[in-house]
Amino acid sequence: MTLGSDASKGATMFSLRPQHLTGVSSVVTRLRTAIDLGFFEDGEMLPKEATLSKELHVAAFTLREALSELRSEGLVDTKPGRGGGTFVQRRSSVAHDKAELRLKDISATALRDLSDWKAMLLGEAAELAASRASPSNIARLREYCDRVLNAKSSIAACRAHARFDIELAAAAQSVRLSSAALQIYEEYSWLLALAHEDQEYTEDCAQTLAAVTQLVSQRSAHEAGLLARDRTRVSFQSLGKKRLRLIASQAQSPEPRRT
Amino acid sequence: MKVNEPLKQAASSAFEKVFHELRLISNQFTEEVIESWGKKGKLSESDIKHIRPTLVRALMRLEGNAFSLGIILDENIIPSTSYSLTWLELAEDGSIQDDLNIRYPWRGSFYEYSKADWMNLPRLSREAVVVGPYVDFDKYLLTLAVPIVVSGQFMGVTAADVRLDDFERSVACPLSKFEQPCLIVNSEGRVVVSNTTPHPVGSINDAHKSMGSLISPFGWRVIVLEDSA
Repeated sequence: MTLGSDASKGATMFSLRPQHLTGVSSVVTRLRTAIDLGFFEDGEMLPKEATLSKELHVAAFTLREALSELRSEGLVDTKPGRGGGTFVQRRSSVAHDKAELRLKDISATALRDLSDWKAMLLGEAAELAASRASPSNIARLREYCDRVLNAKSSIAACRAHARFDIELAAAAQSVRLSSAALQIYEEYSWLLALAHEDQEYTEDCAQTLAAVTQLVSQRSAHEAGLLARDRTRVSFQSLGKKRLRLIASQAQSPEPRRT
Repeated sequence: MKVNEPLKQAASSAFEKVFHELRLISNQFTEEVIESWGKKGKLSESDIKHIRPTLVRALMRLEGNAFSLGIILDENIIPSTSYSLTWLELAEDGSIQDDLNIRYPWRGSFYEYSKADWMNLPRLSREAVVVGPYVDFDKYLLTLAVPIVVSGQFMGVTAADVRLDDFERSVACPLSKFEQPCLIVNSEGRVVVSNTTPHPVGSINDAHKSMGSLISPFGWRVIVLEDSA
């Protein structure tokens, strides 16, 4: 029930981070993941800077830099004065615009590569989970499916979907797969959230995830793996199309909207 | 005696060492709760601080068996507090890191403690449990938990995390004596320790639930399979 591998720094959610990042970017990633995975709710005030920098084991200066980066991403907002502080804001249009810019800038090959990696990961996870999942894993998978279906926002849908993926890897009893699933989410939650802005897509995901869960519970390893792989490909196909549309729309209006 | 007896003993004593410490902590905590209720009529966070030295000593004694332990109180046991976590971890350099009394509402919301098996099962049964092995992001763990019950009220659990690797090591010697395929499985029929690749750790098989012989009251079993050439 502890979190993270960096035992020497204590086990908190902030230990969940890519090892290769240091300094400000590491803090940005850790906070972004904490916000994306729902450790902080929308509108919630972050702990005071002094507390937070202690939690994160970074200097106050580093934290301030990181918060300013998150502000520019539109993930947090700082209100001055009494009762002020840094607040999480997840449904900002700034975050949406920024995500579209990033999708437009990513290369088609990079997107395909990510799709291959995620498909392999989840396909393997589903296959192993079919022979290893316990009833409590399956109950959690079902719950996350319901949450995807009933999500009130794209962020909530994306978060529930991420939890499903991580749970699937945990059900496979694999530490490596679950770390890898989490890492994809740490780096690309902005992208996956963008896909979930389409309600039809979200409903389609919920349906497929429920079917994967059903196959896992029936111990149909091969079929579960195929379906999970296919789900990822379909997801990335819609992202690929969205990317092309974004590039095309920018070509038509050469003055991009500034935020 | 039968060849699997030493293996069963090693496994059950690995549990028993941890449970012994957890029970001591639960008992002491129960006394403090009763005292605090008597004085103030309620429990506050400062009451939990007193238990810290006890946790530290227990964790030191459990080195190699459990690497973290603590007390998790159920929802609203401390008024208007969703969860209270007093948790210590023995770091690899031997230092003790603590999350003393820092509540992580966000962490709680991720874990949904009230639904975690190590909280839920003792709440329902008022009995100690062994949960796992399960993947916790980057660790493969067993969680052992004993309920804290004061005057009939379930308060939460005293729990410890055991690395599956450490548990396996504590039964490795008797396991090495087996020429034939041999497994330790949990109550779900999941393989926890294995000396044979066709039955890897983590795999689950319902048939296991009635095979071999029981190790512990938690439904764990030792299964010695026919030598399949």
